Formats: sequence, C-alpha cells, structure tokens
Amino acid sequence: MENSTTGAFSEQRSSLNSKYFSSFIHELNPTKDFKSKKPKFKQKSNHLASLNSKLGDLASKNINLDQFSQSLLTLKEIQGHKVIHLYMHEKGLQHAQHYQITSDEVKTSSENVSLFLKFYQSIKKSKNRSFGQSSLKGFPYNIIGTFMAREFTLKSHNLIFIVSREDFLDYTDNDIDFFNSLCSVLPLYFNRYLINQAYLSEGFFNEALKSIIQNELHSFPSFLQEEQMQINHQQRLHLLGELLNTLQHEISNPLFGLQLSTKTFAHQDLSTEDLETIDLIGQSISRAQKILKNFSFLYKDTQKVTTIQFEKLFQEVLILAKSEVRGIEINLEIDPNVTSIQFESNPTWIAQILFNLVINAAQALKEHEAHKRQITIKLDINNKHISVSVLDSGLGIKTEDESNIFQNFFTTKDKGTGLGLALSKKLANKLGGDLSYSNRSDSPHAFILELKR
Amino acid sequence: MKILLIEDELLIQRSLKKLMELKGATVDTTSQGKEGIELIRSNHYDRIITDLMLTDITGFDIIEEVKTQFGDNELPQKFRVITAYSSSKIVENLSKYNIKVINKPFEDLNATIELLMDLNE
Repeated sequence: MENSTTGAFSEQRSSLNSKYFSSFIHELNPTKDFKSKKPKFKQKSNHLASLNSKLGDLASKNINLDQFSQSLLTLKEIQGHKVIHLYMHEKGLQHAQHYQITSDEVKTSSENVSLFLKFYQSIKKSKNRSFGQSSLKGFPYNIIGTFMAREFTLKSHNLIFIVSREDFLDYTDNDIDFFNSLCSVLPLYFNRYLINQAYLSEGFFNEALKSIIQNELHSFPSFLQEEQMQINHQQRLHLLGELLNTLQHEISNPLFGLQLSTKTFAHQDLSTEDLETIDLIGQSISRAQKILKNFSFLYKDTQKVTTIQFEKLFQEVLILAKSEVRGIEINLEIDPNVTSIQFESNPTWIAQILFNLVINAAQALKEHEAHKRQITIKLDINNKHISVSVLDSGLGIKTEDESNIFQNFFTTKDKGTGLGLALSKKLANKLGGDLSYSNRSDSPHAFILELKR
Repeated sequence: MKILLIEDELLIQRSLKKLMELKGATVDTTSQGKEGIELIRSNHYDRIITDLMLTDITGFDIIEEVKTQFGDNELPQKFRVITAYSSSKIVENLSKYNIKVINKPFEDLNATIELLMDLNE
C-alpha cells in the first residue's frame, strides 16, 4: 500500500506518516463496520492517504491546536481558503471557545454555550455543508462570503469547523468533496490535540514550578515559599487526579467488560477446574478495579467530609502501598471503642497522610535492612482525640534530625523532595489536628496523627 | 421483553445480552448510536438500554432524537442509561428526562439485571 500510492504528495510520505496512515485507517474503519464503508473508502484512499500524510507532517511540527489549524491554511489542497473558524465546547463547561484563524493571526474569544449549541445543531442538520452568508443567521462571529462548515463530536469537546475563502462564489462539488475528505481525517488530530492539551500545559507548568522550588526557592521569603509549595502541591495532586481519572475511565470500562463476561460462564457446562479458573480471573479483575478506584480517590481534589470508617480506610491505604510494603509484616491495632463512634472528617486527606507515613516507614525499613520488618497502624481514642499512630520496627529518626523532619525541603532520602512530611503536617492542621513524631524511651517511636473529636 | 442494548464495549455488550437472555429477554444489540436510533425507529422495544459515551454520538443525542416518538411518561419507562462517567452534571442532565442511571461497574450484578428488566416490579 505504501509504495503503490500515486497521490500527488505520495513521494513526500515518510515512514512515520505511513504509520499515521495505518493507524488512521484503523480508526476510520474499525472492523465492525468495515464492510459497509469499504467500496467508498477504496476509491478515495489515495487521496485521503496523501492528505492524511500532510496533516501528520503538520501535526508533528505544531504544538497547539490553533497553530495546527493555522498551518492547514498553508496546504495546497486547502484551495485558497483564507479563514478557519474553530468554535468548540468542552463537554460539561458553561462557555464555548472561538478561534478565528488566518495565516497571520489567531483571535480567540469565548461565549455562552447556548449559542454554540444552536449552531452546532443547525450545521449538523445541513446536508451539503455549504452555506451562504445569511444561512447561519445570528452566528456571533463575522464570516465573510460563502463558507463550508462541519460539526464534530470529539472525545472531550464538540467542535464546529468552518472554512471560508472570503468570496461569494458558490462551492463546487469538487470543493465539497475535498472538504468532506478533510473532515474525515481531521477529528483524529483534533482529538489528539484536545486531549493532550490539558496535560501538556499542566505538565510543563508543573515541571517549571518544581525546578524553581528545588533550585531557587531557598532564598525566597518564607511566606512566598510556603505559597509556592502549596501551589505546587495542589498542581501535582490535580495533575495526578486528572491522570488517574482518565486512566480510570479508559481502563475501568474494558475491565468491567472482562468481569461481566466471566459471569456468563457460570451457566455453562464446564469442569470445576475451569470454573475455578474463571472465578480467579474475576477476582483478579476485581482487585485491579479496586486499586484503580482507590488511587483515584487518594488523589481526588476534594473537601468532602464524611463519616470515617477507619479500618476500611487503613485497608485501602495498605492496598495502595502494597508494592512498597511487600515483605513487611503489617499489624492493625484498633481500639474497639472507636468503631462505635461517629467521626466526621475528610477521608481523602487522612488517606494521603497515612499513605505517606506508611511509604516512609516501609522505605526506612528497607534502607536500613532491618532484621525484623514490621509496621503497625494503631488507632486509639480518648476524650479529646482520635489518634492514628504509624509505628515501625526500624531505627527511627536520628536525634539530630528530629527537629527538622517537618521542615519544607528537609529530606534524608536520595531522591526525596522533602515535602512529604511537611505537607502531611499541613493537611493534619487543616483537618483541625496535628501530626507529630514521638520518640519516648518508654514506647516505640511513632508518627502520630491526632484528630480532635 | 424485547430489549435494545446500545453499548460499544463489546464484552459488556455480549455479556449483558447473554445475561438478560438467560432471564428470558430478547435482545438486539448495536455499538453505534446512529444505528441505535434507526433500530428504535423501525422496531418496537419494551426497553432501550444505552451507554452514554458511544464512539459516534452520546446517549443524550439518542434520547433527544427519539424522544418525540414516546410520550413524556413513556420515556423514563423505556430508557435505562448505563455509564462509567457519573459526574453530577450527567446525573443532573438525565434527571431532566427522569431516566434511571446505572453506574458501571455494577455493584450488584443480579440487582442490576433485575433493574434493567423490571423483574422486581
């Protein structure tokens, strides 16, 4: 397929673009409806292939969606179109974003979503996609002359794509054919840009912020340092939360499909051994689902207060810390009086603090190659407080370090940020409690999270 | 009971079809929203179960397209929505139609099948 292509731009296709092309074919023609589309697709494949290869080129050079769209105007195939309008709405938001793109500038503005929806519907209903100047009456942006428009339902956005030559000549069948070809390929790129966009910008910002914090912030006044640290923490949590959210959505659906399919075998005439295997598959899937769910919960940006079920919370934290606590004996010591009282707090924050303490303890035990490896999570209650202690069988904190451990950027680990304990203490304070380190001679060393009743 | 199941995750589609058939339903399936709309227009279904995020259109689009075919009272009776994306926004949007939403993954499979097929009523 690669060498026999005779489209106008085939000679410029690189192997990278062939890769784009095959993935594009796959996306455009998933096996389930391949049959119905095949004849039409075959006729146009050369034309589409060269167009797609050009778009792949442009996409590899341009970082943003608006830059990518601007570069579309440089294509020979765009046949003299001067202006592109991208009018899009991120699902779930109240406003829609508009980009008016010419070869030398990009104007952006934003509108309430209701107008967007109106035009989205009218374009969707139009048959030939070609419009005269008056046909989209009330369109909030100035389009000169006749134009072609198409609406796209993308993964995260709905989008209206408009091209105009800024003249008043009617579009020919040829023009419309070209536009349709373009529109069959574009969503692939739009999707990539729009999905990557959020992560990229946050990722860059986050990295930049991190390097500032790690290299330069020591000289900043402490209140600024504090603020930056909080921002960085929020950013990280937010980014992780988003990432996990996407992962959860993309993975939990196929996992659920697998889980559901294991249930359909129960009614079949299978050997006990086979049924057991299928049951084990189901259990593994449930475990994966649970981990995914718990991780999303741990990084959820939430202020939500609920009744805390401590034992369940401990179990969830331990599931998440599983790879770190491998080979370490874990004990839970729970004062039975706690389970009988209703205690309300932010479970996500408590989980974040405990996760951090458990990971620290596990790493310390491994680093010092402790003979006995044991972590105990202890839950106590008195008249004023509920306290959660994390104890480990390691050496504890060196006396000279004790006064520094809750300081920002203080770390004894090679790759530590020195933020874990400092932020945990902040979170504890935000919960109306405190986090402290206890190293009394009459009891084992422990980190203690105290929460006011 | 004649059911249409619109779901693009094929394993979910096939398994759910089978599990409902075991309970005595006749189930048509499609993974395309647009095909779903065509099927609804040309067939009589006692129940339409649709996913929200399909590859071509959304479950909302399907409901919007066919809602005139059913009365206001009939719509919540006809439709069940199954979704992995249960933001408050989505729940709010669906409550406009008064349609029952079931989250994926299902917490209790049997109870869900019964809810999808009205077996407990």
